[in-house]
Amino acid sequence: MSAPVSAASSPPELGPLGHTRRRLLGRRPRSLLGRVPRQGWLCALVACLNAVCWSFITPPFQVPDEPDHYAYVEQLALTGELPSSEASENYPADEALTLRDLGTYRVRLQPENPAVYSHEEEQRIAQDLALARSAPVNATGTGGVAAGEPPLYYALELIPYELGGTVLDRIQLMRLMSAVLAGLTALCVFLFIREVLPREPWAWSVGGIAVALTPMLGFMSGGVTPEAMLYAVSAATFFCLARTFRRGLTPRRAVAIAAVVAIGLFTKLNFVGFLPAIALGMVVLVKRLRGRSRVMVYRTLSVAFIVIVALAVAAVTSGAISHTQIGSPGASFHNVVGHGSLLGRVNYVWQFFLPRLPGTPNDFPGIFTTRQIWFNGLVGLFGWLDTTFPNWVYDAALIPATTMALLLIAALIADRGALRERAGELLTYVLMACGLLILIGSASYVGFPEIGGAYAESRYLLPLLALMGAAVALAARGAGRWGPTVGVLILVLFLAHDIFSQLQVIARYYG
Amino acid sequence: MHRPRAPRAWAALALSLIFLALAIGVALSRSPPTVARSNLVNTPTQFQTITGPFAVCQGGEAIPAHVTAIRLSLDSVLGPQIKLRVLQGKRLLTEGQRAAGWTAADVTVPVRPLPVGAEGVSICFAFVAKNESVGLTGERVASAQATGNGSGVIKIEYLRPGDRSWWSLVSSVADHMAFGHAWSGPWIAPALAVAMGAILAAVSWSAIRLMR
Repeated sequence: MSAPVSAASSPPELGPLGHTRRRLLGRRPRSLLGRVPRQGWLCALVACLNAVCWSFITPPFQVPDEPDHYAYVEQLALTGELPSSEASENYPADEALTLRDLGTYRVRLQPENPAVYSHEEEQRIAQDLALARSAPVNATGTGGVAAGEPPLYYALELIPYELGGTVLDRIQLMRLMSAVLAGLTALCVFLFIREVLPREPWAWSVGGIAVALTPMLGFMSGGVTPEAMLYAVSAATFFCLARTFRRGLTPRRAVAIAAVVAIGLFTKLNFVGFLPAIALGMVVLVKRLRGRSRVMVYRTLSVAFIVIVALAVAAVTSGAISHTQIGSPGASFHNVVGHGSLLGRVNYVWQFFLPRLPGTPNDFPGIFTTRQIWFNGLVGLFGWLDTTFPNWVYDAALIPATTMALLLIAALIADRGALRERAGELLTYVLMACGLLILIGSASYVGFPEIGGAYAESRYLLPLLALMGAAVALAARGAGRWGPTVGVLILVLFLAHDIFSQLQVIARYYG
Repeated sequence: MHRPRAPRAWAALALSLIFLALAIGVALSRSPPTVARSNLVNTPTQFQTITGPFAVCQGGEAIPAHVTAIRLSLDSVLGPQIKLRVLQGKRLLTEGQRAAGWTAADVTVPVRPLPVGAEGVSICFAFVAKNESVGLTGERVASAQATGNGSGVIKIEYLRPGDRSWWSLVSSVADHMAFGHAWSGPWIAPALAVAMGAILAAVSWSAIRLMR
């Protein structure tokens, strides 16, 4: 990792405070976007195009919880009100009809059953969609398991919803909106890597495109799910923090961080897992300031804090995030309190991600969670967790993964001096990751011991894509003079992973 | 600005793309598994939920020749390890196991294929569902006919490689991809191929940029 660029080397970014206001108001978005390297836009394009492909490959409603997310949007569109907190599957008539015609519940979780398979089925769907379009649709108030989620993503999805005619048109347009968010995710990851490895421009593309081609990102962002927006806003948060750590805290950057935090909180409650680390990061950043700039930033942060709290209070009092329930990791976080012993909870969360420590009870007998849940899940687990590769693929994937891990370690050892200098920044990123993992593990613990391993899905790790991209870029850099060659191999490896994942899903639904 | 040299980057790109093309070709030359036989449970329902250790033998089964996997209708969120044996009387014909961590309404256990089929066999499987439940799906029957100590017959399917390769099924798969979407039509599969081609071109262009 390169040494941080000093303030002296970035005078335009740390100008006198008197210029801050002018920059805040006067800088046009076009000039800001124009400073993004072409490679960054290419990463965004690849991610977006890839997610578009996934949106057509995955049959409608075969992304986890997609019927519920669609129902949430439809509830908003029909009534302007949020769904009720009951996690029922009493979907509006048009959605229920489409689910029936598509055989969603026959296909879901049963890999032996393909998707729509004949002209006759297709014709029946077309007739029913036309019928449903002509009949008035009554809201049922359901949002299924999504009912406890904040409304921002669903509000955004109202745009494509209103543009579509039938349920299938709408869900496809909504998926395309998610695909755009995948592009934003990859762009933010690219920009994050640019900030943390400023002296290695060739490595930015390696990390950015690797993330853009991550099959799980394409699969999830090719569906209707707030995770797509969570990935984007999480990557944006990492980028904003990295930029601020590198260039210094200014009122404008404080506002940017506060803005992404507010967007994250209103996107999906999993974002709560990042908050303690972001707060710590802000403390580290503020402590670096001196004199007037410190006062100015304090003032800005105070305003930002008040705005976020006010938004949160408004959301709670208006009911936007008051009806949280067990069913989403973030939403259930507070329900964990009071369930089981503290040690039992810590032990469970530890074993949810890492190998069991000697002398502790085994909460996951027969399962090496690190490998079987998280690693295998990232390698490939699509549909309603029912579409997998043959077992040997997961074993084979250990070879490139281990190689990249070793290269990463080599890079970190080589740059240990720079790591020490950036300890505060690194600690912030590590704690952000830990916060998210603890949140997911705690949510899973709610159902334990009756159900072990709830939320054991690798998609919940994708808010950390920025760190993954940086790790991939560092791994390439760890190869020394062979860096670009290894970078090329990594790009083709991720491309191959994506292609074979798509083929696997095609074989499962259409073979 | 420090940038490492790329002595073999061009060769790496060319070779890795050739290797990728070959891998796709080999993968598509294989045959998808097909159901060689099923025990004809037509309307499967979940008839029993298991927690804790469980072992059972379901008799009266027939395993066709060259079966490479057996699919059991077991339902779980985070399934336990499954050990499966195929017995004829007390003679072990074949066996297999599936690691823990599966999620679905059925679980496929790979087994060593038999050169010839066998009738009157028992499919025996065992697992320990701790902190988890496993649903047995199949047909509820009278206790006299039921599986082991259960109350029904579990749906079992026997899988073996089909006669046709994925290559020969490409047009059929492309036809199926045209169904069940918005703007359905035969344009979907070719459009996806073009989009992936564009992604390949973008990745190659990026790789070439790394070498400059």
